[in-house]
Amino acid sequence: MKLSQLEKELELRPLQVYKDEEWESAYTSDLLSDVMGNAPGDSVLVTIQGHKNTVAVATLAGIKAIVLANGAPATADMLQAAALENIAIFSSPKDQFHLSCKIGKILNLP
Amino acid sequence: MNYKADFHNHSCLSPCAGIEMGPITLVNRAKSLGIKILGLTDHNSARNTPAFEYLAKESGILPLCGVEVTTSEEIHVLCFFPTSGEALDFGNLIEKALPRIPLNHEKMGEQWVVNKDEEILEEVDFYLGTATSYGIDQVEKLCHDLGGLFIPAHIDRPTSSLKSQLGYIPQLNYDGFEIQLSPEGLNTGITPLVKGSDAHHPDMVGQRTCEIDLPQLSWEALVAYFQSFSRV
Repeated sequence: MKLSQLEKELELRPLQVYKDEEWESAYTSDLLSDVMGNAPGDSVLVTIQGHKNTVAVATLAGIKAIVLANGAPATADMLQAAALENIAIFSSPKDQFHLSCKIGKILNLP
Repeated sequence: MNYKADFHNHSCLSPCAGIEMGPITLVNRAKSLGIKILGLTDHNSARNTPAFEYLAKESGILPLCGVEVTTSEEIHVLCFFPTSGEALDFGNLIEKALPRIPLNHEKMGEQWVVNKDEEILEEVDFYLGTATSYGIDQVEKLCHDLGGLFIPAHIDRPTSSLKSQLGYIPQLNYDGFEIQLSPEGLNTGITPLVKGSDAHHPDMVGQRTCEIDLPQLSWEALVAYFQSFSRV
């Protein structure tokens, strides 16, 4: 599935222009060491950590997009790093639980 | 007498610091700035403290052989020890509590262990920059069991601090707190505040320092200074 479909179905707000890549799984966590150790590749990360360290960890894990839950703001250097690394940054006023449930439905998780 | 102190510095062992940040460079830079109490606090390892300890002593600087531990809550804590011996023992325990994420030079950086001549001895081949499995209370106990000083790092920073990760200060036996952003006037009244550069490049050494009043320049006098404050 393309990131643009995720944007549409979850009613996300892209924080900058992004490359419309494919994604196939997702991970939800606010502890970056947990993301680094456990997030699958080609995935979407749901988190409230809106700073550039999240992009660094996403790069290591092969994450394609970061969805900032609860309306968490993104710092300017986060957006800059994400643009360099081709990682999409979205924002949503919904919390991690609601976003994760919706993504679960899109992925037909049992 | 007042001594200029810089509690928080990294060396080329930390993945986020470059090869140019060798212990000779660190000590020489500190010496030229009049720093007399100098901390080496690499991420989750103490393997460069023996070289650092030797070089600092040669320059008339009190070496604080330390580790910047990442707790399981992702809080950064500075732990300092009387000598590199205890620091290495502590560092071994901390390293064992890290997941074995293979070091990727391009994405994570380099982690060099060097001797007092800055010759490379080895490279740590797993990533030191992530969180250990120890909670902050366990780190406090391990640190104090080895005679260390336990000082949560940059508690006023919006990331990797007590404030950002917990939002409150749990009841533990703190020897002090490192502050980074707060103005000089901040005073808890009960727990000493220290400053450190968190230097990852030679130019950053000495960018944040504090003055510590000691009867003489020694580890024992420093411990007595911290113990003279009542605790939280």
